Amino acid sequence: VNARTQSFVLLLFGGALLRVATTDTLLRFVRPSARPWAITAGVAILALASWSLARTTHERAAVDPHGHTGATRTAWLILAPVIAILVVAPPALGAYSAARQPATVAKPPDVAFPPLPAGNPTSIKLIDFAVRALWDDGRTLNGRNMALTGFVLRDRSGGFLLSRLVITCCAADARPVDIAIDSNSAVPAQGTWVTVRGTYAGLAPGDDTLPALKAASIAVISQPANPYDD
Amino acid sequence: VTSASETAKRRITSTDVFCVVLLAAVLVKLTAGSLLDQPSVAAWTTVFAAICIQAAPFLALGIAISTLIAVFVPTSFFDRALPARASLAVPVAAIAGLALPGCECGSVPVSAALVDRGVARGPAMAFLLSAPAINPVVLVATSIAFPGRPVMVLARLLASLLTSVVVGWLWQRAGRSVPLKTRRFVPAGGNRWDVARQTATHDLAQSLGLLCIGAASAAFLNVAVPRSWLDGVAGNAVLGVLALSVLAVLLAVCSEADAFIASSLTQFSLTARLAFMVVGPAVDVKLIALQTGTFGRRFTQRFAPLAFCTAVGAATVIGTLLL
Repeated sequence: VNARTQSFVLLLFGGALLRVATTDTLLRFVRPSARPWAITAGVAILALASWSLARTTHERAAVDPHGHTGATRTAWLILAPVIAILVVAPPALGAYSAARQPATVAKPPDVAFPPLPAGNPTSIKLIDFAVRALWDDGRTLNGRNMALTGFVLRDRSGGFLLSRLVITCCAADARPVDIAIDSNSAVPAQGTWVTVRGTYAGLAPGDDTLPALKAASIAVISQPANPYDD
Repeated sequence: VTSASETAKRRITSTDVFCVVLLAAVLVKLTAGSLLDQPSVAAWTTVFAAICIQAAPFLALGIAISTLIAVFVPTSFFDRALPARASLAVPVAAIAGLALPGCECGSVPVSAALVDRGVARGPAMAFLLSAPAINPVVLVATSIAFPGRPVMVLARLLASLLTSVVVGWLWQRAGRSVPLKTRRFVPAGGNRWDVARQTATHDLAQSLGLLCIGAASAAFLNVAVPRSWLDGVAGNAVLGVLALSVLAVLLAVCSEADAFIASSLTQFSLTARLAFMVVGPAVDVKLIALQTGTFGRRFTQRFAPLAFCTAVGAATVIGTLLL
């Protein structure tokens, strides 16, 4: 791989990174807070690659004292993420990943939970709901109408779970938060995005790590711009 | 597989690259729909792309710093900054790791630049291990992930420092027989900025390529390893530590995120979760790929097992004392 090829491959990668970083597609992969980093890196890599590409016509190929360039053949591999991002454009992680690991809710730093924001129903994140239910006995949830958005997950016994993945850095560290939905209506298909309105219903029978919501209505929606619970 | 010398003889032009990209893109586009129907393939692609997108800025930052060191910092600077005796320089370099905020990907090129600038192998390896493990961003993330348990932050700091210093000392003594691959790339010349540009382009292309190998295998293991096998060993103190240590190597989670994973593994003892956070920044599949490409295969074959065993030992000792 000569210097021109390296620059060319980097140009493609920088372009792909900048492209994904300036659209909502980025949120399938990383948290919104990673956006400025990705944009900066995309611009920097594009600039470096263009500069090198412009100059390599004047330079002889880089001299290798050992007479081979084996180590830099890895530059070709950079095309893999370029194709993955721009051509394949995979969907965000969802029900498949959520079903494959247990949902766990760690103890939060704040012991005192402020009241839920006003609204009837009030929109609340799944992780917020689960933390308040499990670590504060649901004190701040009682008597409130809430709207929670997530995707449908069937548990082993066919029960209806509302689930959403939480990420810290990127999709590689996604972990699910699950809520048992107590509902009489038909359960939508696995992975369907829904907004469930209802009231806190304590913990699910037989599982003291799973909070429950008594559903008043279930609306099928399209996937939110940020598919993760952020 | 063509040999390296054949590849060097054949001149690959950017036109060739363009054709290959076009062909690959068309092939992928034609098959992508049916491939993505497989949820495991879709999940692999998402996690693979996510690791590349997440790590690229840190890798680029690491390359920027290492280029500045390689081109603009004179060797004499490190002679003055580090104690002459390697046994003293190792802990100094390990503590200097506090100053590089970033993940483990960035510290590989920086350590390679330190070796190039004449820093002894022991201190350079101590820095390689400590920088991603004990920098302020990682410590703050750990305190957020383990609320009400500040001792976890202290335990992580001490166990990672212990790992870095012990490996640094051992490598200074025993690493002599394992030559570090020196910088094979020699810029064609020009002024300092041209040298810096060529160095950065070469190093970035190489490191990003290596990162792709690591990201591909980490994504595969992430999707392929069922988490349920963990439940069987969680109750056993010794097996728990070993299981989470191995998991840290396989999952290759960024060191800034591993504390949140560790805190969610509530079925394991605190010592086992500490081991997860101490092993991960020291050895994982993504780092093994980066280090093999940067320092050579013989280096990684010895260094990775040494770092793994030391990290497990340090986490066990500190965990038993503090947690």
